[in-house]
Amino acid sequence: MTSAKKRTLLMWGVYALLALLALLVQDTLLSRLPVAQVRLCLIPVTVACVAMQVGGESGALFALIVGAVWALSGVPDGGFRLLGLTVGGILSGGLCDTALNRRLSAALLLSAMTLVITETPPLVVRLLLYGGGGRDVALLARRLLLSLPLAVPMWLVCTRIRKAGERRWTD
Amino acid sequence: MGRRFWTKKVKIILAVAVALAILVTLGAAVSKSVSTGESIITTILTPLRSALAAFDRQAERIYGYLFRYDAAVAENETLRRQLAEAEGDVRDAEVYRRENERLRELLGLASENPDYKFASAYVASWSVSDWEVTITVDKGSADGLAPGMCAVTSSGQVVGLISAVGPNWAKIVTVFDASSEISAAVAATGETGVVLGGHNEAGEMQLQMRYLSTAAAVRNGDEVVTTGSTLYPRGLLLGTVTGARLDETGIDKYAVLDCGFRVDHLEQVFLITEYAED
Repeated sequence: MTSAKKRTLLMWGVYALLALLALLVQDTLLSRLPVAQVRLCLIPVTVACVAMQVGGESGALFALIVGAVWALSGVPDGGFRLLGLTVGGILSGGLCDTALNRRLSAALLLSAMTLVITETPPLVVRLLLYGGGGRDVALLARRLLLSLPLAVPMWLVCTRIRKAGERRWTD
Repeated sequence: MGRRFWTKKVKIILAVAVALAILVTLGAAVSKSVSTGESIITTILTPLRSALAAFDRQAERIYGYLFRYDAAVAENETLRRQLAEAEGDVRDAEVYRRENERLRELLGLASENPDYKFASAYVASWSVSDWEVTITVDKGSADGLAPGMCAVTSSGQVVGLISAVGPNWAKIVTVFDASSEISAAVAATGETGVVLGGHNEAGEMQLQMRYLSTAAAVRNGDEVVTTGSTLYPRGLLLGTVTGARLDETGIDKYAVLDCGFRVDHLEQVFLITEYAED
């Protein structure tokens, strides 16, 4: 195995550990300690930041696997979140391949997009089935807004991991 | 730049995601038991969640010692004064012992209910949705737990019911969950109703006792207990009345309860694994 392949494997191993850590932190710390009465969401931000580093195809696969594990870990509305996460991963990686650059501004934009795609469908279904109003929408908006700053440290970590993996891109 | 967006591989991944999402959603809607995949994943994650939760608790204790020491000392002094006053009250309380005996029988647990068997478990994770309020503990079917078992705090306060179990984990739907409905009675007067979980206008978790008769005499401080059913043993404490008011129709009365614990502060719960039904 060449050293480049070893570094690539190591990079993916670290990304997998990062996703696992995000899942554990979300289930324990972030669920137990609400911020302004909402529980922050770390996993969509993690997937967006990883996907923008690794590109459309690899990002999509990574998002699918993370989404499947998240859904099977017992999260409510797991099916919607799995699909939302995969779409977010595809778009994050694909847009960085074709239109955006891999900077913090893009990370914030793509993290916001992934958060909206992942968290909005469960609310819409709940509103259609059970009714509800502005309070639920306001809670979701607050949750998405307060989760967005998590993209900053996550993007920094993912960028360091990618550079350590020394994967070459043809831009 | 210049890469294609919708490659064949991406389309395949998206199709797989759609199929999996449909499977997961249908599985959750149709099946009453936990899927194999969910059981495996949760079994693997539970020890990791427990470890991180234990680390978090330890960090919180250290933080509390470092930054809340002065407040703890002040609180300790206050509690010592209150204890001294309470000891005097206890001496007077003998006069009222007989009057309170019925309430103590309702609210006693291990000493008054020798048929109860308990298993203790630590909380490993908390729910992530703002509508569902569930916790996952680090004991499961290997420890004799099964769906439908009731969880209580060390003081006998009802926490919720086990909804799903794996080998080393159990998911508990708490009393604050919007789906929670518990037959209850006011201990002092016997007025019956149903305790429902949910949130108040400020978004805080809250219990309400609904379906009270309009003439029901409910006072602040009254304790509300379970009436006993196929799900909950009789006489378990649900909460204390903090206010009673009329609902949106202006006809029916409901009471707001303070249950005395916070879900996000729960560290350990006790599962009633066996009890003799009345």
